[in-house]
Amino acid sequence: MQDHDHRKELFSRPHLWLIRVIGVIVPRRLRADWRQEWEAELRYRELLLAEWERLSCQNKLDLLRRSMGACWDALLLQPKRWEDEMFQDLRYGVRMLLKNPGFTTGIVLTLALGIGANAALFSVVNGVLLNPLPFPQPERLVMLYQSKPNFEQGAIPYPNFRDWQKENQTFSAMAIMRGFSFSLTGAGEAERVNARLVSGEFFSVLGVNPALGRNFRPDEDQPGAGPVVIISAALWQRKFADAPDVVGKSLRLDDKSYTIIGVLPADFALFRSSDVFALIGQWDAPPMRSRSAGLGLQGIGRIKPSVTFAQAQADLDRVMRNLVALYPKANRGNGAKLVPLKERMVGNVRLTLLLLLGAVGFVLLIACVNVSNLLLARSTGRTREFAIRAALGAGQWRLLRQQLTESTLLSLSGGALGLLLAAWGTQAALGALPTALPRAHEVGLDGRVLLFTLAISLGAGALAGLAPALKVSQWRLSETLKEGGRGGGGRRRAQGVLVAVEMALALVLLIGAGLMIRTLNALWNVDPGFRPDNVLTFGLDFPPSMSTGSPEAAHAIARDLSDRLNSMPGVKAASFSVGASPLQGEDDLWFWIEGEPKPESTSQMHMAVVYRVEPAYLTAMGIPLKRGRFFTNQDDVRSQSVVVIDEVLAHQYFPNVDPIGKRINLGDDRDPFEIIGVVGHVKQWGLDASDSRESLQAQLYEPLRQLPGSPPVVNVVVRAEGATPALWAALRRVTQSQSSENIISGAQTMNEVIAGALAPQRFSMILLDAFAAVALLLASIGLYGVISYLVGQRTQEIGVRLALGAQRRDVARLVVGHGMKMALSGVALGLLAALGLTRLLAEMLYGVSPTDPATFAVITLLLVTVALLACYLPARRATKVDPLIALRHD
Amino acid sequence: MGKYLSFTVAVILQALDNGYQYGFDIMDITGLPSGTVYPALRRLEEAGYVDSKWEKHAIAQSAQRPPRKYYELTKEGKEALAKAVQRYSLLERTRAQPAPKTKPSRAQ
Repeated sequence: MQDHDHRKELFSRPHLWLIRVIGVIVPRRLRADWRQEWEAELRYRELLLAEWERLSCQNKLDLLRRSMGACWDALLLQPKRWEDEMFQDLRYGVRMLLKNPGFTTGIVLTLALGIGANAALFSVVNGVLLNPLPFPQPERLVMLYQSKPNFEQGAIPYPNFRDWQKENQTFSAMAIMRGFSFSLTGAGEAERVNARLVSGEFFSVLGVNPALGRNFRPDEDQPGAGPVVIISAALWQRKFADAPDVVGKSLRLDDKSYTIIGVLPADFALFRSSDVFALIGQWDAPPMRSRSAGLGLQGIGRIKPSVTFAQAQADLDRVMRNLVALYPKANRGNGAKLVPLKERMVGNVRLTLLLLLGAVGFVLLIACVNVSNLLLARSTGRTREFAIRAALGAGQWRLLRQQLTESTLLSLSGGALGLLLAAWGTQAALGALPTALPRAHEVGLDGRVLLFTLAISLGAGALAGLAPALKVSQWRLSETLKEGGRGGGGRRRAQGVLVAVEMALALVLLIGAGLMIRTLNALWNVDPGFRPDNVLTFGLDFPPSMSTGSPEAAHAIARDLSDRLNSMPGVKAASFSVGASPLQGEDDLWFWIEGEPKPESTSQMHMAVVYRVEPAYLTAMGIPLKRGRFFTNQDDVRSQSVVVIDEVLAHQYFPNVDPIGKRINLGDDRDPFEIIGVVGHVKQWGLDASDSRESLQAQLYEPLRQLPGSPPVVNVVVRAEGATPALWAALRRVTQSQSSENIISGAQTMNEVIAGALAPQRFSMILLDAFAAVALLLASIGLYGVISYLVGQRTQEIGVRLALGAQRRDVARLVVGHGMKMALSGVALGLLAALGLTRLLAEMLYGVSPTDPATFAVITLLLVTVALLACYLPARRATKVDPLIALRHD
Repeated sequence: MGKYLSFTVAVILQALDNGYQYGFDIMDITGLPSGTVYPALRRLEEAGYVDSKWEKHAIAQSAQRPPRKYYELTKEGKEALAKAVQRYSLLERTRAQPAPKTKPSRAQ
């Protein structure tokens, strides 16, 4: 009866009825208040109208019109519903995840590993490849080289450079530079400092201003000007303790006083770090006036804003053509070559880094698949929960969203943890191999890395949550309830596919890592042409006073120290060398063979790497003598000039004759040199394929003691009985005993030199190995998890089988067979993918083909073994099922 | 709420300041439809320019109707209104017309 009245009332007061109806779409949290507000207002108005006796149809219609406005009000409240439900999902998700801490921790760690590895590598890619160089408008900076017929990026003779500078029309500025080193004395302990000779425009080309003091002035960059230097912030701190009055002080370099005019900003870096920048125009060496002496001078230029790279190249081509016409003797066959500065700095690591980024992406995919599988397995356990929620009115979209919310929660936690791992891991990796990467000091976490990490975290969350979420939304709920919460076959298939994909990804990574290991192994076993074990090497500066005395006196000083080193206990042989040094420094010279017509220009002469050494060098380095003899103590300034050549030079220029006794010319002003011996070839340029890519292979040895004077800076190689710290101390002591001004620098063993040369490969190998190991671990955990889960699900079935007389062996075979079916289809898929993908690695490999059958076989075997183990453990558990207990289930 | 209030919103604030505190009263005095006034009030409340309260239960009960909700300007709301008045000088004139002091709900 009451109900009837109520309905009647609603009919007579449609505005109230409308509020009830519209209220349905108001978010639940706000609904009661919302309805009350509208109802109270309408009822109040009604009462007033009734009091005034004006409750006419007209006014009732007006009330209805007002209540229509509530519709709009309710619609605008809709976003609240979304917020509310999000919050609900989130709270519910956190509760579910906390309910199962082991499961949650496992997933978060898995994702942290995957995301962390990606964030770390991306921060490297970001710092090295993506970030612009730390100079204004860095895209306009180019390196300048003079190309020679056999050498694209050659040095620019100084007079040529000055002409380029004057004649070009496309550069806003151009500078030249050259590596150098000084012995720094008079400020604490004497030391050898890395330096750079630059032309006056150097810093303005780069757009760098000294943090303290001023830049070079044009009038200072010429012979006879007052010697000035700009120093690095590091040297300022080391030698002057950051004193602000350092500008104007003097610095003693190679026994000459230089005035400090500026200090560079602390973050300035270009190629190898240098502490002192001095002006090249003040360097009054005769080759500086020659158009055929390169002196290792490299140019750097800033292209004008409106000019393209190609136009600048064409412009310098024109300038160089004019120079060839003007000075054909020195310049014939030579050209100009431009390389973008960034390309020059990072060009050779781009491929490596991008490949590694791809590899680490695989790791994240595996982690996602793993998490997906775990979530899928767990969603089965939650079937009832979802069914009940659905029965209570939760839509499919809502259930799906709940799942995605949970997986996103997981992946964001994983991402946060991963970021920590990345920050720590990047620093550790770069600290371990500082020489592996250019611009390593610029690597760090910045906004872009954070954004990338957030993006891959969200992506990983979506990817990992999608499969389980879709599965949940596909369930026919009534059947699930009937089934009593056991999952259907569809999920099992999905898990099988995921495991196979995981295995395939892991296999590809493992094969990549295997190939890199083989490469590095091959490189370590490459014969460098000398025996590096127990060889020590260091730089040695004689006192500056040595070069002021007579050449004979200088030779005597050098020889005295050489004798002292050679007679030390524990030292088998010690030799000074200047010029080139295998894997460390290069130097070359032109020659022509006696009997050939004298070439008109250097570009028509032959070229060879030159090592200027003492008699003990061959023993110290362990280079084999092939024919004739090596230098002796008798080969000095007073005797016939002699040289020793390597097998390559002998083969190239004396193919059918005995080179011993033949004579070659090394320059206009010197008598011909007699070849007295042939020695083995040495890997000068590197241990990998980059050595054979260099066209210059011929090598030539000249006796140090036949040079016009003894050089003030030499390299020392020592073959010892063992490279012990005590020996290092003894070497230092003996060197200092001759003169306290002798400076030792850059001490390392020859094996360290080799390790340094292999740093890029070691860097890739260590990372690929780590990624592959993580991949293998994750994939095997994934397989193990799925098989254990299946065994759990099929306990009843196994019980029935056992009760019906199946052997335990059959049960084990059933379980292992099921797992291996997934694993093997993954392996097949992975092998196909690897065959396609390892080709990308080809350029980094050495001594092994990208489809090396042995590597493929061993890795496949490894993965299958691990898969077998991962299946065997749950299988053993299956055989222990007690049929009685299993059947009592349900 | 953006930097500047729209004229409509400023009018609603002014109405509140003049003592029209109920949704329907505001509609009456401003002539704005309910579909404008209510969403605006909710936005103003979210922005902290107005506060809403329920009238005392006893009052409503005696009139046999549910309690009404009324709105009050907060300090921020008053400041915002003061700025809006500078911007929309037309509003200034309505300041002189406070609501009849008989606040219907409380009076009854």
